[in-house]
Amino acid sequence: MAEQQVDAVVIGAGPGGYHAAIRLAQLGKRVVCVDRDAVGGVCLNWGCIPTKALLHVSEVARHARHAAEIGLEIPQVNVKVEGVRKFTTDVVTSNVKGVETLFKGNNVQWAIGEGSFVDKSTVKVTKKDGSSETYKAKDVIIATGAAPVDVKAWPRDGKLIINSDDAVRLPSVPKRLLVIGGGVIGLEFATVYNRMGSEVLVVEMMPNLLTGTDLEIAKTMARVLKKQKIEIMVNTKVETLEKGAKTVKATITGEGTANKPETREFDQVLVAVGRRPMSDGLNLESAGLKTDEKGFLNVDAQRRTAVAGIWAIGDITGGPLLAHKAMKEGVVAAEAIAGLPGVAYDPVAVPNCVYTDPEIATVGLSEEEAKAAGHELRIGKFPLLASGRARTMNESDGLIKLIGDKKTDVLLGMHIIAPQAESLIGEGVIALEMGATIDDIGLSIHPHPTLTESIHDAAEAAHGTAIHIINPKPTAAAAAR
Amino acid sequence: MAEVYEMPELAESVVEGEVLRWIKKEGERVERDEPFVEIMTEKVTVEVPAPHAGTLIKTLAAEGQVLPVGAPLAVFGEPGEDVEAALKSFVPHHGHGHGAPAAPAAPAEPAAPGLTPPPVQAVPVPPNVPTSLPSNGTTSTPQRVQREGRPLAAPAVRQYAREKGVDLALVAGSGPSGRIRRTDVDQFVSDRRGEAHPAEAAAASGALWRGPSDRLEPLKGLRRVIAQRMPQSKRTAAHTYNVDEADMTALVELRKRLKPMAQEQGVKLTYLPFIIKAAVAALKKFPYVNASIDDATHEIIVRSDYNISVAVDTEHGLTVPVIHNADARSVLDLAREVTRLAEAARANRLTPADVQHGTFTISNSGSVGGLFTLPVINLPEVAILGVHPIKQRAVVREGAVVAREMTYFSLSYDHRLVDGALAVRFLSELIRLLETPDFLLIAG
Repeated sequence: MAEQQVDAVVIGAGPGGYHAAIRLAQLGKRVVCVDRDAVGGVCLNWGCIPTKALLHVSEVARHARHAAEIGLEIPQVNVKVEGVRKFTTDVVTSNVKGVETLFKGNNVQWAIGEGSFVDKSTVKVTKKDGSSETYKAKDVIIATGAAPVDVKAWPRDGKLIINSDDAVRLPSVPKRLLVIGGGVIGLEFATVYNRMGSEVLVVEMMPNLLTGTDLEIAKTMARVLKKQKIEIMVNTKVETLEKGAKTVKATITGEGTANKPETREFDQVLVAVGRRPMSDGLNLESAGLKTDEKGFLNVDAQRRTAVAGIWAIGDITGGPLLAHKAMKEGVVAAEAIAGLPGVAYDPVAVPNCVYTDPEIATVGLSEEEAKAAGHELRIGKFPLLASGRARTMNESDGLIKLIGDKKTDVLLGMHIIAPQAESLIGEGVIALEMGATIDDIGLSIHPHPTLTESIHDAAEAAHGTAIHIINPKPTAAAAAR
Repeated sequence: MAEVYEMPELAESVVEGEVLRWIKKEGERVERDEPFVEIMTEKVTVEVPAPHAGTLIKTLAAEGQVLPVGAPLAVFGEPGEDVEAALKSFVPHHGHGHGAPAAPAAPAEPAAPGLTPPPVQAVPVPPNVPTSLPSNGTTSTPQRVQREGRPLAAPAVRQYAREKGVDLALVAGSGPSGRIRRTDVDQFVSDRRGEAHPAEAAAASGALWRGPSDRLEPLKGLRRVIAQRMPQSKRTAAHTYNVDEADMTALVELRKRLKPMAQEQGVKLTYLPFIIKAAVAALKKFPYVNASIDDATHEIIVRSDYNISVAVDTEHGLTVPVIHNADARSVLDLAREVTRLAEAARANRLTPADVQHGTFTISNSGSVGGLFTLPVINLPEVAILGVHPIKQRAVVREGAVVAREMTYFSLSYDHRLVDGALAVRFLSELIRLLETPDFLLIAG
C-alpha cells in the first residue's frame, strides 16, 4: 500500500475542493485532491452546469415556439432526447477537462477513489478496484458537499421516481411530471420540463414557493409560472405515491385540492425536497471530528474545524448550499493554511439565483427579514413591463425590487425577476459589499438600452423620482430627497 | 426560548469589554445571579452574574477577545435550543446601541442550510468616541453605522483591518453613510499606537528584536488597558510638574496619637486619609484643579463633587478606585473607605460604581520608596498628586540643623487648564494644611 507525504489533502473535487486545491498549489503547497468520481463535483457533473445546459436548450425551444410573435416562422420544435443528452454531456465533459487542465498546470495531484480518515493527518483513498493508497498531510480540507435528500417512503428508482441526479440526465420527456418540492431545484426542473413539453405539477408543503425568499418575489414568480401553464399547489402535501407499471398514482391533499384528497396519475415523479450534507464514509471519528445533529461541520471564519489541521468548506459547513460560497471558502481555507494574513470568510451577503423563466436572483435581506430586523424600510420597485429593453426581447414578466434602510438609505437587499437576473445581480452584490446607498445606485449612469437600467429605475423609484413609471407622490418625494 | 445576552455596559461611558475568563463553559447550568463570565473593561473587572437560571448554550467570544457593548456575548436557554434562531432575532437594546454582533469568532455562519442570508440591521451609533478627524479632506463626520450587526466597510477595507488586527466595530467611518475607509483604519491604528514612537512602530511592523531565550507574554487584561491609556494621557494632556517638600513632623505625631483610637474602632490609620482631607480643602480653594476639559464641546467642567481616586497596586497592575464625596467624610471614614477599596481592588471585586466619576487622583508610593515620582494624569482629570515616603531628614530651623519628618509631594498637572502659578499655589496650600494639621479641622 503506497503511502505518500504531501502538504495538504483536499477531499472532494467539487467547486470548493478544486478552488482550494488550485490555490494551495499556487501558494507552493504539494496538494492532492481526492474525489470518488470525476473532478468538478456536483456543480460540474450533476448540478449547476448540466442543468444550465438543459435550461438553455429548453429556452431555445421556448423562443422557437414563440417565434411567430416576432415574425419568424419556425414550423415545429421537436425535442430529440439523445441530442439534448449529448449536448449536456459535451458541456460537462469540456468543463471537467478544463479543471483537469488547471490541475495539471498547477501541479495539483488528483486521486479518484473514496477518501476516508485513518487519523487526523492521514487519508486513505480506496479505488473502485479495491486497491488503496494513503496520503499523510499536515492539513486536510473536507469538501465533500451535499446530496439529494431521499424520502424513505418513496425510494428513488431512477425511472418512475427520480431525483435531480436523474433528471439532469433527461431519461425521457415525461408527458406528465409531478415535482415534489417548490424550492430552487424543483422549480428549475419544472421549468426545463415544461419548456420541453411536459405537463408539470409542482407541490409545495409550505405556504409559498422558494421558502425564505422575499414574499412579493416568490408570489410574483408563482404567477409567472402559472401563466406558463406550470400548475402550482402550495400548502399542499403528497400523501402517497403508488407505482404502477409505467405510471405513478399520487394522492395529493391540501390547499391545491380544496383540502380533499385527490389522486392523479403521472409518468414521472421528481423528488426535490432538499439536500443533506455528505460525510458518509469519511470516517470522521478516526480524525476526532463530529458533525452536528444535522450533519454539518462547524467551522470558524478561516474554516477550521474543531480539530487542528482539519478544515471544512462548502455545503458540509452549512449556510446556503451554493457553489460560489464553497469556492470562496476554498480559497479562504487554502490561504489560511498557507499563513496569509487577514484571511477570512466574511461576506455581507451571498447571492442566490434560481434559473426559472425568467430567472430570479436575490442578494441580501428580503422585505420580511429587513422588517423583522427592525428597519424602517425604503423600497424601490420597477416592473419589467416598463423596460424598453425587455420589450425588444419580447419579454414583459419581471420585477426589480430594492430594499434599503429609510434612515440611512443604505441598501439592504436586491431582488430581481428578469431575463438574465443571475448576471444582473452582480451589481447588487458589489453594492452591498461596498455599503452602498440606494442613492449611490440611482446617481450612477447605467447603460441604455439594457436590463440593468431597470435597477437604476428601481433605485430612483425608491426616492420617488423614477422617470419610466408614474411615481406615487412625485413632488413630495422629490422634495424629501 | 434561547436568549441572547449582550455585552453589558459595565461602567459609564465604557464602550467595550474584554472577555477575561469564561467561569462557566458551554453546556454548563447556571443559577440566577451566579457569575458566568469575567469581563474586564478599561475601568473595572467584573464577574458578570447570569440573568436567570438556565444553561449556557453558547459562548460567542474567545477569552481575550474584546467586544463592543451591546454585542452578543452568550446564549442562554435549554440544551438543544436553536442558537442561530436566537441570534437571528436578536435586537440589541443596549443604551449605547453599539449593538449588534461583531461577527462572533466562530462559527461565523449559520449552521442551518438555507438560501437566505442572516437578517441585517443598521444601528446608527452616536459618535461619542471618535476624537480626531481623518486628515484627508473629507466633509462627513466620522460615525459608526452598522448593518447586519456589522460595520459598513468594503471587502478590501475589511481585509486590511484584519491584517492590521483592527476590530472595525470600534472604528468610526468617515465615508458616505459612515462607511469605513482604509484611511479610517490607519487613523485608528495610529490613535491606538500613539503616533509613530519608533519602538512602537517597530513593534507594529513586527520588527522588534527578540532574543532566543526571551519570554513572550500576551499583552492583555489590565496591562493592555494601562498600555493604551498611559500614552493616551501623555498625548492628550500637557503634562507639567511641580515638586515641593513638606515637614510632616506634626502630622506624624498626630497620627501616632490617633492610631490607637482608630484601632479601637477597627480602623488602620495611615497618612493617606489626612492627605485626602488636605487635598479636598485645597481643591475647594482652587477649583480648576478639580476639573475636566471636554474636547468635543470645548467646555471646561468645574466639578462640584470631590471624588478622590486612589491608585492601588495589584498583581495585575495599577487600578484606580474612587472615594466618592470625600469632602463629606471624616478621617476615620476615609480610612475605612481606602481600606475597603484597596482590598476590593486586590481581590478583583471592584464594582463599576467604585471606579467612576473620579475628579482628582492621589498616587501613593510612600510605602515603596524612592525620592519622588511624576505620575501620569488620570484622564479626564487634570491633576494627580504624588505622595512619597516620610523620612527623617536634616533641615535648618531657626539657624540650626535639626532632624524633621520630611517628605516630597509632586503634582503632575495638565497645563491646558492649570497654569504653573496655580499648581504651585495649590500644592503650597495642601502642604500648609498638612504641616499644621490643626488647620484641617477648620479648613474647607
